Amino acid sequence: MNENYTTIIISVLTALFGAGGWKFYQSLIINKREKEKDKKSEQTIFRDDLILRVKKLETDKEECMASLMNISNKLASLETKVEFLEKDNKELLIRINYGK
Amino acid sequence: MNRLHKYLDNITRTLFYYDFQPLLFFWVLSDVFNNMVLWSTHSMWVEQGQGNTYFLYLAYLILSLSMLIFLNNNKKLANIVTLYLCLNLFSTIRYLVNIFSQEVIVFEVIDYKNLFITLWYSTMWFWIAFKLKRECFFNTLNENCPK
Repeated sequence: MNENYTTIIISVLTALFGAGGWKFYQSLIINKREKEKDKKSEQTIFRDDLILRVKKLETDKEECMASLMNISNKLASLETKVEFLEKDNKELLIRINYGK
Repeated sequence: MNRLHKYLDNITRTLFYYDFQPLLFFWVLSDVFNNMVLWSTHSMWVEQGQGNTYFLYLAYLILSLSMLIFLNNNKKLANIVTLYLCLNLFSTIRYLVNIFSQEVIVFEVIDYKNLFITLWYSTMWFWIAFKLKRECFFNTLNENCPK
């Protein structure tokens, strides 16, 4: 009878330790998953931030290109104007010199 | 009839495509055929002064048959295998207690062999129970985890 009790007590203890070990293993896995999830969400935040920044930079670039085109056009017209003015200036100088 | 057909189809698929279940199928079937309940009577065990052993074998038989029935249901199978493991641990501990409670402990080669086989079976059942429970646990985690 005493042997039976010993067997039952040891079996119950083994089962309890086994169940405890299993719970501990489960908590380890859950913690690991949570950490992975956090890391993933951090990576997602970083990626979203990068997407926003790239979008903003592309908009800025388009605006800059438009303004550059505008400036180039103005420069071209100014160059033409300067060319004509220089030509007129030369003609006027020649006239003044002949007039003397 | 349709449900029975579906159930048998499930069992066939499980045996073909799963890892542990085919091993369990063959192992448990041999266990059932070896079970002493089928080949002896309770009175025979009582005569030998081991009436409770008959019920231990009966519990083994019930669990073995349950395993065969729920071979396609991982959750129930894991629970049954855990119960089987508990029973196996109980037998192993009883065997060890019997050996070590003798006044004069004499270990012969046959005792070492018996001890090794008993512990080996316990390890095997522990491993199968652990793998099945782990699979169920990961399935539950993945179900709860949004993809």
